[in-house]
Amino acid sequence: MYPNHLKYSEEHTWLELDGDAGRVGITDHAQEALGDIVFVELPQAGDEVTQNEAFGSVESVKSVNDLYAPVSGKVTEVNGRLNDHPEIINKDPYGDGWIIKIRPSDLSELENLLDAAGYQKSIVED
Amino acid sequence: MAGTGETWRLLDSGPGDGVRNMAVDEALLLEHAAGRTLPTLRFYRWDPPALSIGHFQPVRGEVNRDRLTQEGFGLVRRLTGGRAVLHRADLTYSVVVGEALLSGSVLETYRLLSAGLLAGLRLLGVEAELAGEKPGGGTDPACFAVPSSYELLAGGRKLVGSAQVRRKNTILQHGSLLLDFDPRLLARVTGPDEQAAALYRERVTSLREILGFIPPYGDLVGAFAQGFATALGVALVPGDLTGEEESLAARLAGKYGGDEWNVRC
Repeated sequence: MYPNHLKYSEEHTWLELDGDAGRVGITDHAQEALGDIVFVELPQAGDEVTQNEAFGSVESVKSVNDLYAPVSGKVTEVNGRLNDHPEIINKDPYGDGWIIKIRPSDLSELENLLDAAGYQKSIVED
Repeated sequence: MAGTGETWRLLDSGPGDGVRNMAVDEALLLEHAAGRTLPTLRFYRWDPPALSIGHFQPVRGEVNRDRLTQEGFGLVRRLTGGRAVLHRADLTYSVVVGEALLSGSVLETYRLLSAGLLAGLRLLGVEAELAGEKPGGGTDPACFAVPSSYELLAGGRKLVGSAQVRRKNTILQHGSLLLDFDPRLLARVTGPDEQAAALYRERVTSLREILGFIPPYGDLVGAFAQGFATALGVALVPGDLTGEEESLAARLAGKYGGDEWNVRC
């Protein structure tokens, strides 16, 4: 459940770099732990985000959880479909459930991210 | 699972207004996340009464501010999720603990902490049960209209409503145990009409209804403290707010007392 082409953060987000920007979402492990997501608070396109700092939050089962940016950079796009259908994150966390697109400002930060095997190991240790 | 033998702080804050109550809970979360305090179990009451609403709950259509003012009740938006709770005759608990000490999914932590509430209720002579994992939905503005997974029911009717926030690997969960319940009053302050009162009467109960009386505040705190300590396998040591928590709570009171936060959506 952890696709090999993605980079992962220990804060349970993934990054799929494609050119100079990449989609960000939460992992299957995270959506499973959260339960049914009923609300997503998104940043706006143009906002700056910082690695490991909150860029938004989700509510599931009356629990509000921050979402942490896997890398620093500018938000170039947000997934507006989630406003009306936040449950897409549960159904398709790596596809239609993507949350924002970021243009990374410091590619050296990618070294702080994990590959699929590394992420899988980190959640077992959690 | 919380490990046997850990020490937690027990805070008995007594009565406070909604702004103070929510500011203290957030201060506890931030200071524990910063590693400066023990995990905490806190009890408090609301004076004057207030309606607390969920982090993302819209005010429009779900809160009647004019009627709140007429009743002399406050309004405060919680850091936690969920829906509106009228804190008038209730005991509120909060738990602040790192995810490392209370690990598991959101549902698993509700279940663990509900075990503490169940044990406390049993000490008071009340047999309650946990709602199932998918107890059914609904879109009522009031928290107590709809049981959520692993919340506490008595005779199939909701007795305790809880909500959570997780920030910086730290969990804040707080919840309201109804000592007494007035369905018409809840409908007055949450709904555009008072039709909802019949629904609330059917779905909600209170300690007074179950026991025929409301146990003294001190007995309630004692029973739930013991219930949590037993269920979580921790030792509780009575304590006070730290100086940092006091000054943080004073600063956060500005946020919880203002419309920018309370009427943000």
